[in-house]
Amino acid sequence: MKILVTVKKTIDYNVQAQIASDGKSVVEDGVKMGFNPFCEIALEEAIRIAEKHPDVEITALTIGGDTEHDILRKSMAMGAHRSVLIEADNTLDTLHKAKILSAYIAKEHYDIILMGKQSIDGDHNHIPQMLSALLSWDMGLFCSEIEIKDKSIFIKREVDEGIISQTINLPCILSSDLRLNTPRFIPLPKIIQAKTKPIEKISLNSLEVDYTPEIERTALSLPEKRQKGEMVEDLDQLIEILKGVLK
Amino acid sequence: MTKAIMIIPPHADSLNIQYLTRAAQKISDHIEAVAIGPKAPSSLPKVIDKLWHYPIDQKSELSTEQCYQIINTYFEQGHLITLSGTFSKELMPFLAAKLNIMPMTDVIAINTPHFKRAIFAGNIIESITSSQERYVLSVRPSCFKQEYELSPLNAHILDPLDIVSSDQSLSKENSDLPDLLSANVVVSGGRGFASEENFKLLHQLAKHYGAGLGASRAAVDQGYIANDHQVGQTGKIIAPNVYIAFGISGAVQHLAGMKDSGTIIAVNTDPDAPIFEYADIGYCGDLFEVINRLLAP
Ligand SMILES: Cc1cc2nc3c(=O)[nH]c(=O)nc-3n(C[C@H](O)[C@H](O)[C@H](O)COP(=O)(O)OP(=O)(O)OC[C@H]3O[C@@H](n4cnc5c(N)ncnc54)[C@H](O)[C@@H]3O)c2cc1C
Repeated sequence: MKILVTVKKTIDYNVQAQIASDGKSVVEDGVKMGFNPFCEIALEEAIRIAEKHPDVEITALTIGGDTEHDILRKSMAMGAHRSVLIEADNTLDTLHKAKILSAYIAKEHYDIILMGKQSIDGDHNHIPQMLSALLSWDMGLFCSEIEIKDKSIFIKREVDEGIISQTINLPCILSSDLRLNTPRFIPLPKIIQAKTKPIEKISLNSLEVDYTPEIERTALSLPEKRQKGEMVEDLDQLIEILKGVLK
Repeated sequence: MTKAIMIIPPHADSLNIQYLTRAAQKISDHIEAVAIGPKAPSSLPKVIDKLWHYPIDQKSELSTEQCYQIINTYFEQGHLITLSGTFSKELMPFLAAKLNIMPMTDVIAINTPHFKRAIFAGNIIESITSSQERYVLSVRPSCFKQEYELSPLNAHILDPLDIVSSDQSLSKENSDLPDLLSANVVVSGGRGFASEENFKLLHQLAKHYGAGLGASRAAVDQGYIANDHQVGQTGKIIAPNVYIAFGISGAVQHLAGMKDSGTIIAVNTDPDAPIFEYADIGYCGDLFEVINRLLAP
């Protein structure tokens, strides 16, 4: 069985992103970057599946340029067997990226595409759904549990109304939620070993994606900041306030 | 003018439908609504021209693919607009990809053809301009607050399509509390409760005062409460009139889900907890002391 895990490099979730001087992008130079947390969880899940099913091969894939080598190396250090870089601008819109991925996947033979449900930079939560539409594959979104059965997969997914249990068929697209697992720590020797592992590069042209973006980012701005209010020292006073608003 | 088709999510309540109407008005003067689910609303804001209903029986859940087929069969034209939430997160990007349209989701402001979205857990606002003829979008209801006079509207029933219902089964705890997405007041708890047992106090408090019940990711991860109560970047994004945070530190990912609330009140033992930077009223002290007082007869 072949699993494709898409990974994205994002600004570390503990770092507050800053708007760059062009007013349209965020500063990345000198900023701590790492796995988009949801992608890391997706990769961890694939590795756990491979640990149970030795015939599983995991490919980590990202879209970007030379600056993305490190995230692919990290993916291999964590446990991906091979890695693929689709050479394209990594700020393309989500539909464009979904089309690129779908063109690539159509040429390969994957059984499962495991992805993070959203990327913590754009916060879109689009691409797994789009891929499902473009490939006409089943999808299981926001997974908090994944169990591989023979030709099907049992999943639990987190939705606004609770948890949905469902069985879906292969091939399929799965997107991970936070509670799916806790990713492992990558020991240093593995990181060093992965430094020399190959990265397969695929040019955007070879995928022949026809797409004209119709949405343009015109500016980034900061949200209005809330004013810090007052601290209440006296418990009785707090109780009175709370009872006032709660009634 | 291209009309707007308002897709009413199965569990949307009247107030959020009104807010959705406000957003729909910002993209078109002609609004039609479609409800896919067991019931259609019996009354809607007067500005809505027509209501369509695709009935499904109480127990079945339609898959995204099926919803897409219904929309695609009956609504070949018109902007498609719905509320943020997991229903639209599943449907809109899927639908959009099928229609070859880049969707705009979680939109917080509209001035066509310009739109705004929150990115980076709400720390940055992205302004975008669309040259599309047809929009596929979802909006955050709290950013389009407007109440309307409602009038009864008869639903036009859509003929059933030949689609089988899917085998999804939803497990949900029966709730004796108001819906988190539309509650006026929300009491919310975090890791500070330290146990599932203790968290029940918050449930009691919510029940006692008829408030919605929210939680931080840490509280959900620890198993104090079910996932559908999680507020934040990856949970629900809400803006009640009053949000009361007990034992929540105020991580950006949590703030992303509640910082547009009317009044924020925070109770935390740590005077340096970031939540106090956002709170209108802060109290540095033990949450149990506060809750016990509020529950005392
Ligand atoms: C990709 C990603 C997405 C995330 N999405 C979300 C999300 O959607 N929602 C979310 O909430 N989090 C989310 N998080 C997690 C977030 O970063 C924080 O870890 C989480 O919000 C912390 O929850 P907490 O405030 O309950 O716990 P903590 O940060 O541990 O805070 C507990 C607080 O309780 C206080 N306390 C302890 N005892 C008492 C007492 N007796 N009385 C009063 N106060 C007390 C402490 O002083 C402390 O401030 C996300 C994280 C990542 C990486």
